[in-house]
Amino acid sequence: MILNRRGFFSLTAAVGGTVVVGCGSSAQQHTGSALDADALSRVLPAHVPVEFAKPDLPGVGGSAPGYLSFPRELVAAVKDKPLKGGEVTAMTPAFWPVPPGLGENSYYDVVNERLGGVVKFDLVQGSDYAAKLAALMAAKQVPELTVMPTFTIPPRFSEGVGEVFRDLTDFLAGDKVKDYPLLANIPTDAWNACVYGGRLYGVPFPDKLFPEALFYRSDLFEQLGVEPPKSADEFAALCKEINDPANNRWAVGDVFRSVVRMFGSPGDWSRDPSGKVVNVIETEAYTEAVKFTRGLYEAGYVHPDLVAGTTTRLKELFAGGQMLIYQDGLGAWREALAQQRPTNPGFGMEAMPLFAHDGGKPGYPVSPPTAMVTLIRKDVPDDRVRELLGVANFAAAPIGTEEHFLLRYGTEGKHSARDASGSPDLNELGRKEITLTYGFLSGPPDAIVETQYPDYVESLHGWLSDAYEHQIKPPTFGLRIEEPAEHSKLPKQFEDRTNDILRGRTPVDQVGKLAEDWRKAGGDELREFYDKALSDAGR
Amino acid sequence: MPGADLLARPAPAAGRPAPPNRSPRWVRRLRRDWVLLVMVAPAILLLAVFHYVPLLGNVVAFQDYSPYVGIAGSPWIGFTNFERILTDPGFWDATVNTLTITAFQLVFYFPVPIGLALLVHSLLSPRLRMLVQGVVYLPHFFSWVLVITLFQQMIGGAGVLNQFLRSHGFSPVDVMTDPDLFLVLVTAQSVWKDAGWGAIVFLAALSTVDTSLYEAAAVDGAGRWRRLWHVTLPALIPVVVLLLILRLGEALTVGFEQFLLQRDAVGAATAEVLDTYVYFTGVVNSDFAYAAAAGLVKGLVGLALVLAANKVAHLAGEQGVYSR
Repeated sequence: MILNRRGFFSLTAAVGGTVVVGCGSSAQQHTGSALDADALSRVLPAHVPVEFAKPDLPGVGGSAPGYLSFPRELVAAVKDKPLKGGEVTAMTPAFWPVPPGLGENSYYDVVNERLGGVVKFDLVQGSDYAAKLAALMAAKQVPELTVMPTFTIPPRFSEGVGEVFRDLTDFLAGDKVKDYPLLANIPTDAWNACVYGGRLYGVPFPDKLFPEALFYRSDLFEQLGVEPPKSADEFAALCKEINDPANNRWAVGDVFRSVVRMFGSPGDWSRDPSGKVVNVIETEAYTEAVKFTRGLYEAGYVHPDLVAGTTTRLKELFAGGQMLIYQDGLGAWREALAQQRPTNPGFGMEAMPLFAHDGGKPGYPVSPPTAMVTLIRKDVPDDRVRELLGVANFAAAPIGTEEHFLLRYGTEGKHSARDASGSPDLNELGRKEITLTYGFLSGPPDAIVETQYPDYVESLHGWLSDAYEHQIKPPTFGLRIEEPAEHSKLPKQFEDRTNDILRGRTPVDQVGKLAEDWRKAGGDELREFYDKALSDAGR
Repeated sequence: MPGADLLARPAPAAGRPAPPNRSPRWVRRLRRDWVLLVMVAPAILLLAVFHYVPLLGNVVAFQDYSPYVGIAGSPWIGFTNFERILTDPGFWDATVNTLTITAFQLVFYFPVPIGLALLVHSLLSPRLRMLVQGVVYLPHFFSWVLVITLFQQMIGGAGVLNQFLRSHGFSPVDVMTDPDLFLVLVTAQSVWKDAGWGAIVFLAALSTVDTSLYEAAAVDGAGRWRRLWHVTLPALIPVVVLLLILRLGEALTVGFEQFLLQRDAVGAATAEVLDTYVYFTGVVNSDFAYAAAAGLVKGLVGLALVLAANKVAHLAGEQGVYSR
């Protein structure tokens, strides 16, 4: 029965696709592609930084600045209303409960009033987003503004992007972006993910270079009298000390990717000293990380939920103190504080400072700093494109501007209030009505602005400046490389094999065979592909 | 079959005079049966729109299909997708897993609803019977997510049972993550969830047994087991054979959610079944052509199994799914 239902969706999508698309279209087939740095630089917008409020903690060598107090005086950064009336359709993901809709939501009303038009959002649950977007794209029925998270890009997206979405190169490349000063404020690295087939298709929502970190419960660490580790041995000893299953408390959740970094991962793809392109699975870091993590599983330090492959409750387990260390996206930090602090003021969560397995100098291979890409439908006329880019420009307003405040805190006094130190926070109405909607259409450069948690701002600022110092830029950084489709199942296949070893289902000596099997299963062809892509880009 | 008597109407009496201007045969039949045809039309329409028309989409199995250019724009590549499937060791591993699970469940799951139906049938108090039926049907309406969460919370590593054992100084038992116990686990889950539901068909068959047969058998001195053997079971056999054949046709389908949800608990080597294999290799990567080809292979094998099983049933003197 299940197959029938699934078959129904995929096949009707296929049939519908033919009817709408017809023939004669010339989308490139999936041969895989890469774009060199030169071609990229021709389509990328210029970077013209602006600052509306001085940070209390300036960025160190390029890392994100931090704000300990919220600016009292706000500046109007966008003078005119970006829209000239009418309605705009938009689709954004919601990783939270959906707020009341248009007509019942005073936050939408006040923002639309300021924008000069009505934005009609279609909010889709984050977990269903990729599937819905793929179906809408195949049917060419996307809204005027589509937000695409970079972690759920629909497969074969590059084949469809030019068929469905507007080429924005002529509106934004080079100095043209200066028409939209707040978009020009977005650093160049964040734009890379918006380029497909040598053309610029989207506006980025910038993100951090470091997708995730190991978090630990600092309050419970203090109670137990333990400190974050500085080497692999210390890490294992720490786990042993804090693990106490009889009292429903385990040491760690999912930590594997962080352990690979701890053992010195050079990134998913890199060149070894001889110049040969290698995948992380072939590196010693990976092998050692598998052995080490397997040891954690064997010793019973890993929470049983994760051993059973359930990853949905990890945040809860961490918040409940049933698991003291786990790896999560950096955004989870603020979320957890917002959720736990009201009921548990002593809740302590910290990102573990980076450390190397031997106690030496750590490293962190960075990811492209783009969380979302906003795309405009292909048939939108030029004038309208400019209006929509104006909306994105509005959404990119940084801290210190009225626009930034409006989008995050609504109207002061109605949706939010400032506390004694001037930090705004949402009230009940604000929490009900305000989620990231307009805010996803674009965003300001990365900055730490959660002034209501000064301890968090200082911690994260410190962690980021340290991580910045230890960042490793893999050779693929900034390139848009799309792998050939026939190899797309390799990652899942070898993630499964790795999980088998970690959980003790296959003997530990299998770890030596992982790389060999990966090569045979298509890894060698993929290596050639990457070698060519990197060489073409002069890396 | 309740409709059988409608199909086999007695021919008009021989001595009846033929009406003048005899209209063609099909017009007469139409006039006679139009109400029935109207009644069945919506079902046929649904079947056509949701089954037969989408079936045409299976042609993508022979293409390097991209949803953005559609069937018309995608190049034809013959049997390449089938080659990719049949030469992939992952496909054969998944097939072996699927067949193992089917075989195991055929022995340990299939008979359970029959036994349950016999038990429920033997309850004399109608009220108690209703209650038992209600209780055993209910889990069928739970989603697999819920069922597996329940099992996890009860017997999982951090579940009630193991927390109890740990806090009393015993070592925990590992049921949910032991690949060797996986077959038993998924079968137990299926029994818990669906055995009651599966009993409905058998209960219906049991209710058609003429009670006078039992009385006659009892008068002849047949005991409880004799009556079961000589009256009840023969009444059930046609239904059992029918369901068995249909089950064989689905030998390559053992469920999807149940395995997807528990795949990471025991690893792909044990829990990867054909449906999850197709999901991960075809659907997740939007490789619809590959997924369609795998679906076709599955369908063909299923058809062959049904036909073969039906043949065997005919040879054994049973009616099977259809009669010749």
